[in-house]
Amino acid sequence: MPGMMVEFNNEQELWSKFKSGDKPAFTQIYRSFVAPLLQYGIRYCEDREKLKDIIHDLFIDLWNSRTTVAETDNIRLYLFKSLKYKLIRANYNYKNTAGKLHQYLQTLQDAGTELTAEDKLIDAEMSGSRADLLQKAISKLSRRQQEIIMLRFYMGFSNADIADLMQMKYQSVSNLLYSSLSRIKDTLQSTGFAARLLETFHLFI
Amino acid sequence: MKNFNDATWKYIQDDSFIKWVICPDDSSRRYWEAWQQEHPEQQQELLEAVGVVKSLHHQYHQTLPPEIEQDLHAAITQSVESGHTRPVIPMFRSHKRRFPFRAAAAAILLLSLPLAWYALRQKQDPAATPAQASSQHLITRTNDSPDNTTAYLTDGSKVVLGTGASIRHSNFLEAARREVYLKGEAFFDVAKDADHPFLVYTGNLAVKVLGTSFSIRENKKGNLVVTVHSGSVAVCSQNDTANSYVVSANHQLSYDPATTGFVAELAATGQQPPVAANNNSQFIFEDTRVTEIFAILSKTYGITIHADEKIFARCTITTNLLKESLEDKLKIICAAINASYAIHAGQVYITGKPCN
Repeated sequence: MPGMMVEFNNEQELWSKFKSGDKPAFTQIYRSFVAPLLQYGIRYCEDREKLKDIIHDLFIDLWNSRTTVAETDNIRLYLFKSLKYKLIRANYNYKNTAGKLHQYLQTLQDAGTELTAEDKLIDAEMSGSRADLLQKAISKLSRRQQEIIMLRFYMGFSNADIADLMQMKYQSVSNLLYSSLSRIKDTLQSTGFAARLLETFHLFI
Repeated sequence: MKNFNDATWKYIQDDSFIKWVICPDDSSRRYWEAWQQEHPEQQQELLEAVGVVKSLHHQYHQTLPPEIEQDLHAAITQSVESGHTRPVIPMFRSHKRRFPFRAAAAAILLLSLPLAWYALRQKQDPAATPAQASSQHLITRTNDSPDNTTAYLTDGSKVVLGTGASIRHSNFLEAARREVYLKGEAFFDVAKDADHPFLVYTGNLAVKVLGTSFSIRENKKGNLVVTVHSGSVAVCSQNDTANSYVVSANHQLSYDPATTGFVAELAATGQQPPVAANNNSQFIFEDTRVTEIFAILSKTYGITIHADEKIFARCTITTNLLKESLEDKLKIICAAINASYAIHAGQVYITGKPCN
Protein backbone atom coordinates (compact mmCIF):
# COMPACT_ATOMS: atom_id res chain seq x y z
CA MET A 1 0.00 0.00 0.00
CA PRO A 2 1.31 3.43 -0.85
CA GLY A 3 3.71 4.82 1.65
CA MET A 4 3.74 1.86 3.97
CA MET A 5 7.14 1.45 5.54
CA VAL A 6 7.57 -2.13 4.49
CA GLU A 7 11.30 -2.19 4.82
CA PHE A 8 11.33 -0.41 8.12
CA ASN A 9 9.39 -2.21 10.79
CA ASN A 10 9.76 0.21 13.58
CA GLU A 11 8.50 3.59 12.48
CA GLN A 12 8.91 4.96 15.94
CA GLU A 13 12.63 4.22 15.81
CA LEU A 14 13.00 5.80 12.37
CA TRP A 15 11.18 8.86 13.61
CA SER A 16 13.38 9.12 16.71
CA LYS A 17 16.48 8.88 14.54
CA PHE A 18 15.18 11.66 12.34
CA LYS A 19 14.35 13.75 15.39
CA SER A 20 17.92 13.41 16.58
CA GLY A 21 19.11 14.93 13.30
CA ASP A 22 19.93 11.76 11.38
CA LYS A 23 19.85 12.77 7.70
CA PRO A 24 19.66 9.26 6.20
CA ALA A 25 16.57 8.63 8.35
CA PHE A 26 15.02 11.86 7.09
CA THR A 27 15.88 10.91 3.50
CA GLN A 28 14.23 7.57 3.97
CA ILE A 29 11.12 9.29 5.27
CA TYR A 30 10.68 11.68 2.39
CA ARG A 31 11.62 9.11 -0.22
CA SER A 32 8.91 6.83 1.14
CA PHE A 33 6.21 9.41 1.43
CA VAL A 34 6.62 12.02 -1.32
CA ALA A 35 4.78 9.81 -3.85
CA PRO A 36 1.67 9.04 -1.78
CA LEU A 37 1.54 12.65 -0.58
CA LEU A 38 1.57 13.83 -4.21
CA GLN A 39 -1.20 11.36 -5.03
CA TYR A 40 -3.30 12.61 -2.18
CA GLY A 41 -2.44 16.28 -2.67
CA ILE A 42 -3.30 16.34 -6.38
CA ARG A 43 -6.90 15.64 -5.36
CA TYR A 44 -6.87 18.95 -3.56
CA CYS A 45 -4.59 21.04 -5.71
CA GLU A 46 -4.46 20.48 -9.43
CA ASP A 47 -1.62 22.95 -9.87
CA ARG A 48 1.35 20.61 -9.85
CA GLU A 49 3.94 23.34 -9.31
CA LYS A 50 2.00 24.72 -6.38
CA LEU A 51 1.60 21.24 -4.93
CA LYS A 52 5.33 20.60 -5.26
CA ASP A 53 5.93 23.84 -3.38
CA ILE A 54 3.60 22.83 -0.60
CA ILE A 55 5.08 19.36 -0.14
CA HIS A 56 8.61 20.79 -0.35
CA ASP A 57 7.69 23.28 2.39
CA LEU A 58 6.17 20.51 4.44
CA PHE A 59 9.40 18.51 4.53
CA ILE A 60 11.61 21.53 5.07
CA ASP A 61 9.40 22.68 7.94
CA LEU A 62 9.59 19.16 9.29
CA TRP A 63 13.38 19.10 9.14
CA ASN A 64 13.63 22.51 10.79
CA SER A 65 11.32 21.56 13.62
CA ARG A 66 12.70 18.05 14.10
CA THR A 67 13.72 18.64 17.68
CA THR A 68 10.26 19.78 18.73
CA VAL A 69 7.86 17.60 16.69
CA ALA A 70 5.93 15.01 18.65
CA GLU A 71 6.87 11.34 18.80
CA THR A 72 4.84 9.14 16.48
CA ASP A 73 4.67 5.55 15.33
CA ASN A 74 2.40 6.42 12.42
CA ILE A 75 4.53 8.64 10.20
CA ARG A 76 2.22 8.34 7.23
CA LEU A 77 -0.77 9.63 9.19
CA TYR A 78 1.33 12.46 10.63
CA LEU A 79 2.46 13.57 7.16
CA PHE A 80 -0.99 13.24 5.59
CA LYS A 81 -2.44 15.35 8.37
CA SER A 82 0.26 17.99 7.93
CA LEU A 83 -0.29 18.09 4.18
CA LYS A 84 -4.04 18.35 4.53
CA TYR A 85 -3.63 21.17 7.02
CA LYS A 86 -1.30 23.04 4.68
CA LEU A 87 -3.62 22.53 1.71
CA ILE A 88 -6.70 23.70 3.56
CA ARG A 89 -4.80 26.67 4.93
CA ALA A 90 -3.86 27.53 1.35
CA ASN A 91 -7.56 27.33 0.49
CA TYR A 92 -7.60 24.06 -1.43
CA ASN A 93 -10.33 21.48 -0.97
CA TYR A 94 -10.76 17.90 -2.02
CA LYS A 95 -11.96 17.92 -5.65
CA ASN A 96 -14.52 15.75 -7.28
CA THR A 97 -12.99 13.62 -9.98
CA ALA A 98 -15.67 14.71 -12.42
CA GLY A 99 -13.87 17.83 -13.57
CA LYS A 100 -10.65 18.84 -15.23
CA LEU A 101 -8.51 16.77 -12.91
CA HIS A 102 -10.32 13.63 -13.88
CA GLN A 103 -9.73 14.30 -17.57
CA TYR A 104 -6.10 14.96 -16.87
CA LEU A 105 -5.70 11.76 -14.92
CA GLN A 106 -7.66 9.90 -17.55
CA THR A 107 -5.24 10.95 -20.29
CA LEU A 108 -2.40 9.81 -18.09
CA GLN A 109 -4.09 6.50 -17.60
CA ASP A 110 -4.79 6.08 -21.30
CA ALA A 111 -1.19 6.93 -22.06
CA GLY A 112 -0.41 3.62 -20.44
CA THR A 113 -0.25 3.00 -16.77
CA GLU A 114 1.10 -0.34 -15.85
CA LEU A 115 -1.53 -2.90 -15.06
CA THR A 116 -0.75 -5.48 -12.45
CA ALA A 117 -0.49 -9.08 -13.51
CA GLU A 118 -3.71 -9.66 -11.69
CA ASP A 119 -5.57 -7.08 -13.73
CA LYS A 120 -4.49 -8.84 -16.85
CA LEU A 121 -5.49 -12.11 -15.35
CA ILE A 122 -8.98 -10.93 -14.48
CA ASP A 123 -9.68 -10.03 -18.04
CA ALA A 124 -7.56 -7.74 -20.12
CA GLU A 125 -10.43 -6.80 -22.39
CA MET A 126 -13.00 -6.25 -19.71
CA SER A 127 -10.89 -4.38 -17.22
CA GLY A 128 -10.86 -1.23 -19.33
CA SER A 129 -14.61 -0.92 -19.48
CA ARG A 130 -14.99 -2.03 -15.87
CA ALA A 131 -12.63 0.69 -14.75
CA ASP A 132 -14.61 3.24 -16.74
CA LEU A 133 -17.88 2.18 -15.19
CA LEU A 134 -16.44 2.24 -11.72
CA GLN A 135 -14.82 5.60 -12.36
CA LYS A 136 -18.16 7.02 -13.43
CA ALA A 137 -19.82 5.62 -10.32
CA ILE A 138 -17.12 7.15 -8.11
CA SER A 139 -17.46 10.53 -9.81
CA LYS A 140 -21.11 10.62 -8.69
CA LEU A 141 -20.06 10.57 -5.04
CA SER A 142 -19.76 13.61 -2.82
CA ARG A 143 -16.31 15.02 -2.05
CA ARG A 144 -16.09 13.36 1.33
CA GLN A 145 -17.33 10.06 -0.04
CA GLN A 146 -14.64 10.17 -2.71
CA GLU A 147 -12.01 11.08 -0.19
CA ILE A 148 -12.88 8.22 2.12
CA ILE A 149 -12.87 5.71 -0.77
CA MET A 150 -9.37 6.84 -1.69
CA LEU A 151 -8.06 6.83 1.88
CA ARG A 152 -9.54 3.46 2.71
CA PHE A 153 -9.10 1.42 -0.46
CA TYR A 154 -6.15 3.05 -2.14
CA MET A 155 -4.05 4.22 0.78
CA GLY A 156 -5.30 1.47 3.07
CA PHE A 157 -5.71 3.73 6.11
CA SER A 158 -7.34 2.23 9.19
CA ASN A 159 -10.76 3.52 10.21
CA ALA A 160 -9.21 5.20 13.24
CA ASP A 161 -6.68 7.02 11.04
CA ILE A 162 -9.44 8.14 8.71
CA ALA A 163 -11.45 9.45 11.65
CA ASP A 164 -8.42 11.50 12.66
CA LEU A 165 -7.59 12.68 9.15
CA MET A 166 -11.13 13.59 8.13
CA GLN A 167 -11.97 14.94 11.59
CA MET A 168 -14.96 12.76 12.23
CA LYS A 169 -16.10 10.29 14.85
CA TYR A 170 -15.01 6.70 14.58
CA GLN A 171 -18.56 5.48 14.12
CA SER A 172 -19.23 8.05 11.40
CA VAL A 173 -16.33 6.67 9.34
CA SER A 174 -18.16 3.41 9.11
CA ASN A 175 -21.39 5.14 8.10
CA LEU A 176 -19.72 7.26 5.45
CA LEU A 177 -17.93 4.23 4.07
CA TYR A 178 -21.17 2.30 3.91
CA SER A 179 -23.07 5.10 2.18
CA SER A 180 -20.24 5.57 -0.35
CA LEU A 181 -20.08 1.90 -1.27
CA SER A 182 -23.86 1.62 -1.41
CA ARG A 183 -24.05 4.54 -3.76
CA ILE A 184 -21.38 3.09 -6.04
CA LYS A 185 -23.23 -0.17 -6.08
CA ASP A 186 -26.56 1.47 -6.83
CA THR A 187 -25.03 3.36 -9.74
CA LEU A 188 -23.43 0.23 -11.09
CA GLN A 189 -26.65 -1.72 -10.79
CA SER A 190 -28.58 0.88 -12.72
CA THR A 191 -26.70 -0.03 -15.90
CA GLY A 192 -27.61 -3.44 -17.23
CA PHE A 193 -24.19 -4.11 -18.63
CA ALA A 194 -22.45 -3.23 -15.39
CA ALA A 195 -24.88 -5.32 -13.40
CA ARG A 196 -24.03 -8.34 -15.55
CA LEU A 197 -20.35 -7.70 -15.10
CA LEU A 198 -20.87 -7.58 -11.36
CA GLU A 199 -22.63 -10.89 -11.26
CA THR A 200 -20.12 -12.63 -13.44
CA PHE A 201 -16.99 -11.47 -11.77
CA HIS A 202 -17.99 -10.82 -8.18
CA LEU A 203 -16.17 -7.57 -8.68
CA PHE A 204 -18.52 -5.49 -6.68
CA ILE A 205 -21.27 -7.28 -4.89
CA MET B 1 -32.21 -1.43 1.11
CA LYS B 2 -29.40 -3.57 2.32
CA ASN B 3 -26.48 -3.37 -0.02
CA PHE B 4 -23.95 -5.67 1.56
CA ASN B 5 -24.42 -8.75 3.57
CA ASP B 6 -23.15 -8.59 7.11
CA ALA B 7 -20.16 -10.82 6.64
CA THR B 8 -18.92 -8.96 3.55
CA TRP B 9 -19.34 -5.68 5.34
CA LYS B 10 -17.48 -6.99 8.36
CA TYR B 11 -14.48 -7.79 6.18
CA ILE B 12 -14.54 -4.36 4.54
CA GLN B 13 -14.60 -2.82 8.02
CA ASP B 14 -11.62 -4.83 9.20
CA ASP B 15 -8.36 -2.85 9.01
CA SER B 16 -6.19 -5.93 8.91
CA PHE B 17 -8.30 -7.40 6.09
CA ILE B 18 -7.75 -4.26 3.99
CA LYS B 19 -4.02 -4.40 4.66
CA TRP B 20 -3.90 -8.02 3.61
CA VAL B 21 -5.72 -7.37 0.32
CA ILE B 22 -3.79 -4.22 -0.60
CA CYS B 23 -0.34 -5.07 0.66
CA PRO B 24 -0.03 -8.58 2.02
CA ASP B 25 2.94 -9.52 4.17
CA ASP B 26 3.89 -12.86 5.68
CA SER B 27 1.95 -12.49 8.89
CA SER B 28 -1.25 -11.23 7.27
CA ARG B 29 -1.06 -13.98 4.64
CA ARG B 30 -0.68 -16.59 7.33
CA TYR B 31 -3.55 -15.15 9.34
CA TRP B 32 -6.05 -14.84 6.52
CA GLU B 33 -5.19 -18.17 4.95
CA ALA B 34 -5.79 -19.84 8.29
CA TRP B 35 -8.98 -17.84 8.64
CA GLN B 36 -10.26 -19.07 5.29
CA GLN B 37 -9.55 -22.65 6.25
CA GLU B 38 -11.38 -22.27 9.50
CA HIS B 39 -14.36 -20.54 7.91
CA PRO B 40 -15.02 -22.23 4.58
CA GLU B 41 -18.68 -21.24 4.88
CA GLN B 42 -17.68 -17.59 4.58
CA GLN B 43 -15.60 -18.02 1.44
CA GLN B 44 -18.19 -16.39 -0.79
CA GLU B 45 -18.47 -13.27 1.39
CA LEU B 46 -14.71 -13.03 1.71
CA LEU B 47 -14.25 -13.13 -2.07
CA GLU B 48 -16.89 -10.47 -2.47
CA ALA B 49 -15.08 -8.24 -0.03
CA VAL B 50 -11.76 -8.87 -1.78
CA GLY B 51 -13.44 -7.91 -5.06
CA VAL B 52 -14.73 -4.63 -3.68
CA VAL B 53 -11.37 -3.66 -2.17
CA LYS B 54 -9.30 -4.66 -5.21
CA SER B 55 -11.48 -3.03 -7.82
CA LEU B 56 -11.50 0.24 -5.89
CA HIS B 57 -7.79 0.03 -5.14
CA HIS B 58 -6.93 -0.42 -8.81
CA GLN B 59 -9.11 2.52 -9.66
CA TYR B 60 -6.44 4.82 -8.24
CA HIS B 61 -3.45 3.30 -9.94
CA GLN B 62 -3.16 6.33 -12.17
CA THR B 63 0.14 7.73 -11.06
CA LEU B 64 1.64 11.12 -11.56
CA PRO B 65 4.62 11.41 -13.91
CA PRO B 66 7.67 10.08 -12.01
CA GLU B 67 9.67 13.23 -12.73
CA ILE B 68 7.50 15.18 -10.29
CA GLU B 69 8.55 12.88 -7.51
CA GLN B 70 12.20 13.00 -8.56
CA ASP B 71 12.13 16.82 -8.76
CA LEU B 72 10.79 16.93 -5.25
CA HIS B 73 13.38 14.51 -3.89
CA ALA B 74 16.12 16.60 -5.44
CA ALA B 75 14.68 19.85 -4.16
CA ILE B 76 14.30 18.58 -0.60
CA THR B 77 17.78 17.09 -0.59
CA GLN B 78 19.26 20.32 -1.88
CA SER B 79 17.44 22.46 0.67
CA VAL B 80 18.52 20.27 3.55
CA GLU B 81 22.11 19.83 2.38
CA SER B 82 22.69 23.50 1.67
CA GLY B 83 21.25 24.40 5.04
CA HIS B 84 19.28 27.14 3.32
CA THR B 85 16.10 26.04 4.80
CA ARG B 86 14.81 29.43 5.92
CA PRO B 87 13.12 31.05 4.18
CA VAL B 88 11.82 28.30 1.98
CA ILE B 89 13.59 28.34 -1.34
CA PRO B 90 11.28 29.56 -4.07
CA MET B 91 12.59 26.83 -6.28
CA PHE B 92 9.47 26.20 -8.27
CA ARG B 93 7.93 29.59 -7.84
CA SER B 94 7.53 31.59 -10.99
CA HIS B 95 5.67 34.37 -9.24
CA LYS B 96 5.28 35.66 -5.74
CA ARG B 97 2.11 35.13 -3.84
CA ARG B 98 -0.07 37.93 -5.00
CA PHE B 99 -2.69 38.30 -2.32
CA PRO B 100 -1.16 37.29 0.94
CA PHE B 101 -3.73 39.19 2.98
CA ARG B 102 -6.65 37.73 1.16
CA ALA B 103 -5.21 34.27 1.58
CA ALA B 104 -4.71 34.89 5.27
CA ALA B 105 -8.26 36.13 5.69
CA ALA B 106 -9.60 33.08 3.91
CA ALA B 107 -7.50 30.83 6.08
CA ILE B 108 -8.79 32.45 9.25
CA LEU B 109 -12.36 32.05 8.06
CA LEU B 110 -11.76 28.41 7.21
CA LEU B 111 -10.11 27.72 10.52
CA SER B 112 -12.79 29.44 12.51
CA LEU B 113 -15.60 27.37 11.02
CA PRO B 114 -14.84 24.21 12.97
CA LEU B 115 -14.39 26.34 16.09
CA ALA B 116 -17.82 27.82 15.59
CA TRP B 117 -19.21 24.36 15.25
CA TYR B 118 -17.60 23.29 18.47
CA ALA B 119 -18.92 26.39 20.18
CA LEU B 120 -22.42 25.50 19.08
CA ARG B 121 -22.03 21.97 20.29
CA GLN B 122 -20.74 23.15 23.60
CA LYS B 123 -23.82 25.30 24.07
CA GLN B 124 -26.09 22.33 23.68
CA ASP B 125 -24.03 20.47 26.17
CA PRO B 126 -23.88 22.14 29.60
CA ALA B 127 -21.37 19.64 30.97
CA ALA B 128 -18.88 20.44 28.25
CA THR B 129 -15.28 20.85 29.28
CA PRO B 130 -12.43 22.52 27.43
CA ALA B 131 -11.34 19.06 26.39
CA GLN B 132 -14.29 18.93 24.07
CA ALA B 133 -12.65 21.40 21.77
CA SER B 134 -9.72 19.10 21.24
CA SER B 135 -9.96 16.35 18.69
CA GLN B 136 -10.60 12.86 19.91
CA HIS B 137 -7.62 11.05 21.35
CA LEU B 138 -8.36 7.40 21.07
CA ILE B 139 -6.63 5.04 23.42
CA THR B 140 -6.66 1.28 23.45
CA ARG B 141 -6.32 -0.70 26.63
CA THR B 142 -5.72 -4.41 26.48
CA ASN B 143 -5.62 -6.92 29.30
CA ASP B 144 -2.65 -9.16 28.55
CA SER B 145 -2.57 -10.65 32.04
CA PRO B 146 -4.13 -14.01 32.97
CA ASP B 147 -6.43 -12.30 35.53
CA ASN B 148 -9.24 -9.80 35.19
CA THR B 149 -8.01 -6.22 35.12
CA THR B 150 -9.98 -3.08 35.83
CA ALA B 151 -9.75 -0.16 33.44
CA TYR B 152 -10.94 3.13 34.89
CA LEU B 153 -12.61 5.67 32.66
CA THR B 154 -12.45 9.38 33.29
CA ASP B 155 -16.22 9.67 33.82
CA GLY B 156 -16.02 7.38 36.85
CA SER B 157 -17.08 4.22 35.02
CA LYS B 158 -15.14 1.01 35.47
CA VAL B 159 -14.58 -1.80 33.02
CA VAL B 160 -13.29 -5.17 34.18
CA LEU B 161 -11.54 -6.71 31.22
CA GLY B 162 -11.27 -10.48 30.87
CA THR B 163 -7.99 -11.97 29.70
CA GLY B 164 -7.17 -10.81 26.18
CA ALA B 165 -10.03 -8.32 26.10
CA SER B 166 -9.44 -4.78 24.96
CA ILE B 167 -11.36 -1.53 24.84
CA ARG B 168 -10.80 1.47 22.65
CA HIS B 169 -12.22 4.86 23.45
CA SER B 170 -11.56 8.56 23.40
CA ASN B 171 -9.37 9.14 26.45
CA PHE B 172 -11.67 11.71 28.08
CA LEU B 173 -14.95 10.40 26.66
CA GLU B 174 -15.61 14.05 26.00
CA ALA B 175 -18.13 13.65 23.20
CA ALA B 176 -21.89 13.86 23.64
CA ARG B 177 -21.96 10.08 23.79
CA ARG B 178 -19.50 7.98 25.78
CA GLU B 179 -18.48 5.41 23.20
CA VAL B 180 -16.37 2.35 23.90
CA TYR B 181 -15.34 -0.30 21.39
CA LEU B 182 -14.92 -3.67 23.01
CA LYS B 183 -13.18 -6.81 21.88
CA GLY B 184 -13.55 -9.81 24.13
CA GLU B 185 -15.26 -10.25 27.46
CA ALA B 186 -15.89 -7.47 29.93
CA PHE B 187 -17.96 -6.31 32.87
CA PHE B 188 -19.11 -2.70 32.85
CA ASP B 189 -19.99 -0.56 35.85
CA VAL B 190 -21.17 2.64 34.25
CA ALA B 191 -21.31 5.97 36.08
CA LYS B 192 -24.72 7.59 35.83
CA ASP B 193 -24.87 10.54 33.49
CA ALA B 194 -28.18 10.80 31.69
CA ASP B 195 -26.92 13.58 29.43
CA HIS B 196 -24.14 11.41 28.06
CA PRO B 197 -25.38 7.97 27.09
CA PHE B 198 -22.78 5.26 27.35
CA LEU B 199 -22.46 3.04 24.29
CA VAL B 200 -20.52 -0.17 23.90
CA TYR B 201 -19.87 -1.50 20.42
CA THR B 202 -18.81 -5.09 20.12
CA GLY B 203 -18.95 -7.45 17.19
CA ASN B 204 -22.11 -6.46 15.48
CA LEU B 205 -23.85 -5.24 18.62
CA ALA B 206 -24.41 -1.86 20.14
CA VAL B 207 -25.34 -1.64 23.81
CA LYS B 208 -26.72 1.63 25.17
CA VAL B 209 -26.73 2.43 28.87
CA LEU B 210 -27.54 5.31 31.15
CA GLY B 211 -25.93 4.04 34.35
CA THR B 212 -25.86 0.43 35.32
CA SER B 213 -23.67 -2.64 35.44
CA PHE B 214 -23.61 -5.44 32.93
CA SER B 215 -21.25 -7.86 31.25
CA ILE B 216 -20.61 -8.95 27.70
CA ARG B 217 -19.13 -12.29 26.82
CA GLU B 218 -19.05 -14.78 24.00
CA ASN B 219 -20.49 -18.22 24.84
CA LYS B 220 -19.32 -21.58 23.49
CA LYS B 221 -21.65 -21.39 20.50
CA GLY B 222 -20.13 -18.11 19.42
CA ASN B 223 -23.14 -16.08 20.54
CA LEU B 224 -22.62 -12.73 22.21
CA VAL B 225 -24.32 -12.66 25.61
CA VAL B 226 -25.21 -9.44 27.41
CA THR B 227 -26.04 -9.99 31.09
CA VAL B 228 -27.43 -7.11 33.15
CA HIS B 229 -26.64 -7.01 36.87
CA SER B 230 -28.35 -3.73 37.76
CA GLY B 231 -30.34 -1.06 35.95
CA SER B 232 -31.24 -1.72 32.33
CA VAL B 233 -29.65 -1.44 28.91
CA ALA B 234 -30.83 -1.33 25.30
CA VAL B 235 -29.20 -3.69 22.81
CA CYS B 236 -29.43 -3.47 19.06
CA SER B 237 -27.66 -4.75 15.99
CA GLN B 238 -25.35 -2.11 14.53
CA ASN B 239 -27.05 -2.60 11.17
CA ASP B 240 -30.51 -2.10 12.54
CA THR B 241 -30.36 0.59 15.17
CA ALA B 242 -34.08 1.28 14.91
CA ASN B 243 -35.07 -1.92 16.72
CA SER B 244 -33.54 -2.39 20.12
CA TYR B 245 -34.17 -4.82 22.97
CA VAL B 246 -34.35 -3.58 26.52
CA VAL B 247 -32.68 -5.90 29.01
CA SER B 248 -33.42 -5.35 32.69
CA ALA B 249 -31.55 -6.47 35.82
CA ASN B 250 -30.94 -10.20 36.21
CA HIS B 251 -31.83 -10.87 32.58
CA GLN B 252 -29.61 -11.62 29.67
CA LEU B 253 -29.85 -11.40 25.92
CA SER B 254 -27.97 -13.65 23.59
CA TYR B 255 -27.18 -12.70 20.01
CA ASP B 256 -26.30 -15.18 17.29
CA PRO B 257 -24.13 -13.41 14.69
CA ALA B 258 -24.84 -16.13 12.11
CA THR B 259 -28.61 -15.72 12.14
CA THR B 260 -28.58 -12.17 13.62
CA GLY B 261 -31.29 -13.45 15.96
CA PHE B 262 -31.76 -12.41 19.60
CA VAL B 263 -32.87 -14.67 22.46
CA ALA B 264 -33.87 -13.24 25.85
CA GLU B 265 -33.45 -15.33 28.98
CA LEU B 266 -33.21 -15.10 32.74
CA ALA B 267 -29.65 -14.75 34.00
CA ALA B 268 -28.34 -17.88 35.68
CA THR B 269 -28.86 -17.50 39.42
CA GLY B 270 -25.82 -16.82 41.48
CA GLN B 271 -24.00 -15.30 38.55
CA GLN B 272 -21.90 -12.72 40.30
CA PRO B 273 -20.25 -9.79 38.65
CA PRO B 274 -16.46 -9.80 38.95
CA VAL B 275 -15.26 -8.36 42.23
CA ALA B 276 -12.24 -6.47 41.00
CA ALA B 277 -14.44 -3.53 40.13
CA ASN B 278 -15.06 -2.68 43.75
CA ASN B 279 -11.47 -2.80 44.82
CA ASN B 280 -10.51 0.84 44.76
CA SER B 281 -7.84 0.73 47.43
CA GLN B 282 -5.30 2.44 45.21
CA PHE B 283 -7.38 5.59 45.56
CA ILE B 284 -6.98 5.83 49.34
CA PHE B 285 -4.10 8.15 50.11
CA GLU B 286 -2.44 8.91 53.42
CA ASP B 287 0.08 11.68 53.48
CA THR B 288 0.94 10.82 49.90
CA ARG B 289 2.97 13.04 47.60
CA VAL B 290 0.73 14.52 44.93
CA THR B 291 3.23 13.66 42.22
CA GLU B 292 2.77 10.05 43.21
CA ILE B 293 -1.00 10.45 43.05
CA PHE B 294 -0.75 12.01 39.62
CA ALA B 295 1.35 9.06 38.48
CA ILE B 296 -1.30 6.64 39.75
CA LEU B 297 -4.11 8.59 38.09
CA SER B 298 -2.14 8.78 34.89
CA LYS B 299 -1.66 5.02 34.89
CA THR B 300 -5.24 4.28 35.93
CA TYR B 301 -6.93 6.39 33.29
CA GLY B 302 -4.36 6.06 30.53
CA ILE B 303 -3.94 9.82 30.41
CA THR B 304 -0.81 11.95 30.48
CA ILE B 305 -0.65 14.34 33.42
CA HIS B 306 1.99 17.04 33.37
CA ALA B 307 2.99 18.21 36.85
CA ASP B 308 6.40 19.61 37.62
CA GLU B 309 8.23 17.22 39.96
CA LYS B 310 10.27 20.03 41.50
CA ILE B 311 7.39 22.41 42.16
CA PHE B 312 5.11 19.82 43.75
CA ALA B 313 7.83 17.79 45.45
CA ARG B 314 6.76 18.85 48.96
CA CYS B 315 2.99 18.71 48.44
CA THR B 316 1.32 15.82 50.22
CA ILE B 317 -2.34 15.10 50.93
CA THR B 318 -4.52 12.61 52.78
CA THR B 319 -7.78 11.77 51.04
CA ASN B 320 -10.07 9.10 49.64
CA LEU B 321 -10.84 9.45 45.97
CA LEU B 322 -13.03 6.42 45.49
CA LYS B 323 -16.06 7.33 43.47
CA GLU B 324 -15.27 10.62 41.78
CA SER B 325 -14.73 11.08 38.08
CA LEU B 326 -11.20 11.99 37.03
CA GLU B 327 -12.09 15.67 36.79
CA ASP B 328 -13.56 15.70 40.29
CA LYS B 329 -10.45 13.94 41.59
CA LEU B 330 -8.30 16.60 39.97
CA LYS B 331 -10.46 19.34 41.46
CA ILE B 332 -10.09 17.88 44.96
CA ILE B 333 -6.32 17.50 44.69
CA CYS B 334 -5.85 20.93 43.19
CA ALA B 335 -8.02 22.56 45.87
CA ALA B 336 -5.90 20.89 48.53
CA ILE B 337 -2.56 22.11 47.19
CA ASN B 338 -3.85 25.42 45.84
CA ALA B 339 -3.04 24.51 42.24
CA SER B 340 -5.12 24.50 39.09
CA TYR B 341 -5.50 22.11 36.23
CA ALA B 342 -6.23 22.46 32.53
CA ILE B 343 -7.10 19.85 29.95
CA HIS B 344 -5.56 20.44 26.60
CA ALA B 345 -5.27 18.15 23.59
CA GLY B 346 -6.16 15.11 25.61
CA GLN B 347 -3.60 15.77 28.33
CA VAL B 348 -3.79 17.27 31.79
CA TYR B 349 -1.57 20.17 32.85
CA ILE B 350 -1.19 21.05 36.53
CA THR B 351 0.08 24.49 37.47
CA GLY B 352 0.73 25.89 40.90
CA LYS B 353 3.29 26.92 43.49
CA PRO B 354 5.52 24.82 45.75
CA CYS B 355 4.06 23.76 49.10
CA ASN B 356 5.75 24.65 52.39
